[in-house]
Amino acid sequence: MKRTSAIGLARWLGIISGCLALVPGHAQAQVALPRPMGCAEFKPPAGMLEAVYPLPNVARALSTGSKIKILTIGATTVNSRGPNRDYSLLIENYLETTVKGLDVEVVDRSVSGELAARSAERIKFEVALNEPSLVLWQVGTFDAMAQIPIHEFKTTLTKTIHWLRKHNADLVMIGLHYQRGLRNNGSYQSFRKIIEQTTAEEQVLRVGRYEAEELVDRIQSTMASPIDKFQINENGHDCLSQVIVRAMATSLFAKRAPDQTLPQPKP
Amino acid sequence: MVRRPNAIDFWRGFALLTIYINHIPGIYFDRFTHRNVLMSDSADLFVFLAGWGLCLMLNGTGKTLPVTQQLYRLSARAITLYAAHLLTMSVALAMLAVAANLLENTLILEWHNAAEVFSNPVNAHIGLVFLTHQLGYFDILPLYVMLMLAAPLVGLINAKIQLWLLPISLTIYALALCFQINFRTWPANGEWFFNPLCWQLVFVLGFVLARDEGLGKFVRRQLLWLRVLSVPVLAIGTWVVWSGWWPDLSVVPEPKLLFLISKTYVTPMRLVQFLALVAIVSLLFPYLLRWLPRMAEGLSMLGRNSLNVFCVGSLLSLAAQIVRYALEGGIILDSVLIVTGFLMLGLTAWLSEWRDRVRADRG
Repeated sequence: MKRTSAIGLARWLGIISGCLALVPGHAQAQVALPRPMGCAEFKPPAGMLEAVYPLPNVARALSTGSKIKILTIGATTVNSRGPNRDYSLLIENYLETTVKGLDVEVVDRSVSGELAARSAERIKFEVALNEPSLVLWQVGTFDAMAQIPIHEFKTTLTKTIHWLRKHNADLVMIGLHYQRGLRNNGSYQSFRKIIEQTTAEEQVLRVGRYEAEELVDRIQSTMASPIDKFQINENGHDCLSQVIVRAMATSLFAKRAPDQTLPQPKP
Repeated sequence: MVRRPNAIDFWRGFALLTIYINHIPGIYFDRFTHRNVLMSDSADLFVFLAGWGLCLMLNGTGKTLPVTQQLYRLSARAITLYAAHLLTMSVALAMLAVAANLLENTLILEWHNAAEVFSNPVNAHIGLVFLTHQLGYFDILPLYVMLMLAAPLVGLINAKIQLWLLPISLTIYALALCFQINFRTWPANGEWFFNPLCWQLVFVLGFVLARDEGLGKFVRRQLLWLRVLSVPVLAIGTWVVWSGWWPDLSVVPEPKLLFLISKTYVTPMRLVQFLALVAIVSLLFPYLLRWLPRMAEGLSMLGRNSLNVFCVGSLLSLAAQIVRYALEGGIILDSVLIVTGFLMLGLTAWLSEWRDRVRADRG
């Protein structure tokens, strides 16, 4: 998936390097970090990344040197508005440029506006066919907007988490989008809560897209020329991308057991 | 002169109503549609009946149309479908844009795979015209266009080497399943939701079963036994859907698609259960016509005007989604949307026939 400009690539490498700066020392010592290039000052807001759980299947693939397959699914995982926002490339480049000999393949099956029930069906199908180590699932926004019964939604999440666990695929769940008009929408907020609750119960890594986009909105609304409402989501992607990468790095490198050996970095 | 109510139009009308409901995610009444207890849904029925309708169109008078006339009629039908698809999608996109502005929520622009159109309009518009970019819930007409483009070939094979039609179709289906072949989408990275290489089999099955000879003749002769056999097939399929039981997909042998339940690839289990469903429900129409004549006539009217009703229904279901979001609907709003939607679909069919009558009267 080589689909970005040189500028976009440099920018993403900057993001990645900034994220890796937060990874504990023993992990840093074994990966080759690209030179920091801005965009590193972003601090995740409260609620965006509350707990980091292990990604055992990705770690296993790393330790054996086998190909890491990542399935992105659900409602446009980090969106790709414009050629410089290619999420698949971000993940692929990050892993491939920092760890020697690593082979990463991102299978992008995201569909904008997709509901959880439909993507849950597709997850089973795609996992059976592609056998990924990691699934990145953007979920909840459009279920909330379609007012899917919340207990059905929770059941879909829980069943899918259990199914993935049984089928040796790790999961990173990416929460709802942010919109100013939805801040006081009780129904929408209850979907946020249910995702938080479910991921905490099931010990699944969750990255809060809502919190990232809300932070962008809050910062930029104080500026002299406030951001257009149509731009909030797009700028939120940057923050979100940083935190996803950070979460993955922390999970993979910082939580590694002493008896496991990391793949060697590129010279 | 409109057709008298018949089973084909009736079931097509039934499929249109259930498609309208199924295309409003979260609506209360969705739980009462047959997709909740079966592996198949109304899309299978719609495509199957399209194949059946094609057979009647080509051989309905008891005499097969000349090849040139077939080609002309089927090409004209494909162009009509294509134009209807483009018009419907354009209106749908405008509806999403208006809703996003009025409700001040840009997330609406991402509904149903529409994000690409608003964020990457140059490539997305190319994709829309070439059918490589499709909106969710608006993706059955592109399949139908492809089937109609292939229909002259179906007619030709039927006319020249009739016995080969089903084997050829089965071979294409098997190859698509074994090698996971599907049409790609662009600019969004993905594949067609309705894989034409697999769904063509449903279409061809409709075609060959509508014939008075060959497989169609055999099935009619053995219908009683086939219905008896269909009962356990249907029961097992329903149990699978309800219980969620299925062999562990990670250990099933290759080609895995033979063992998966997939709408995109209309995989064998789904197809078999759908055919069992057809065998059983095909006995209902005469009784429905006798006991519930108004309903039978109403649904047949919808089925006679299926393209117009389908297009209006697609837009109405999108409008219903927007209304449900804006008003945070409950069961009362859902009931209003269903009743209003059904009345509008009925009005669409009635207006279509009224227009045809006026044209006929003018000569």
